[in-house]
Amino acid sequence: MIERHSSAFDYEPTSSSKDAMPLRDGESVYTATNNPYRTENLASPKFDPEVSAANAANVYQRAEKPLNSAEQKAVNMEDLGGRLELFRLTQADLDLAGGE
Amino acid sequence: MSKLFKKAMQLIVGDSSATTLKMPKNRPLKRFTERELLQMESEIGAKLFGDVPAGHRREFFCLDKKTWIWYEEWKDQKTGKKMNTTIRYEIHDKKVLKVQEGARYSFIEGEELDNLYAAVSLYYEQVARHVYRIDPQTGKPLAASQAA
Repeated sequence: MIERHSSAFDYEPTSSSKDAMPLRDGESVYTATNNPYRTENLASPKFDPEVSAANAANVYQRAEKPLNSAEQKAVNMEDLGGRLELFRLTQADLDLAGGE
Repeated sequence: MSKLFKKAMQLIVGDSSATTLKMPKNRPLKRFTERELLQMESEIGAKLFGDVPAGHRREFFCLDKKTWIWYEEWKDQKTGKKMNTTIRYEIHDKKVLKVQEGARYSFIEGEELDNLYAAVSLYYEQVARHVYRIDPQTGKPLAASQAA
C-alpha cells in the first residue's frame, strides 16, 4: 500500500478562498491560488491609517536622527570656524569701537 | 608646506615685528588688521589649554572655516636648541584630519576629538565676546543684544 504524504496538493480550500476565487476550467484550488497571472493574486496595497502613521513617524525619526557624535562635532566645528572667519573678515580694518 | 600654512605661520609667528597685542579696555578708536585680529584670537586660544610652561610659546587659532592651527615653540634644556611643532587640524567631510610634520596624517577620534571640540567651542565663545564683541549665541553685537 502506498502511504499518502501530505503535500501542497492536499490543499483544502477554505470557505473564504472558495468565495474569493471561483475556479476556472481545469484549475484546482492550488493552481488558482498560486497562478501569478491571475489578478486576484497580485498584491494590492491597502491603506491602513495606523500603519501609515507609524511608517511616517519612522521616516520622520530617521530624518531627525542626529548624525553620530563624531560627525556632528566635525560639522559644528566647521560652522564655528565659518562664523569666526566671517567676524574677522567683516571687522578687519574696521573700527571695532563702533564709532564711539 | 602648503601656501595656506605658510601664510598662517607668517601671520602668526612670522617676523620679529610681532608684538603681543592687548585689547584696549576702553576700546578707543582703533583699526585692526586681519593679522592683528588673528593674533588676538590666538592669545585667547593659547590659554584654553592651561598655563603655557615657562620658556614655551603657544599659538592656537582658527585660520579659516576648515583649518585650525596649533603651534608650540620651546628651547630644549639639554641642547639649548630651539624646538617647535605645528599641528594642523583640517575639517573634512564629517571628519577631522590631523596633519603633523613628517607627513603624518590621521583622522582623530575619541578623547582627542572630544578635547579639540571642547577647545574649539570655548575658543568661539571667548573670541566672539572678547575680540569681536559679538554675542556668540545670537551673532549680534554685544551691546545691542544686552540692551534687548
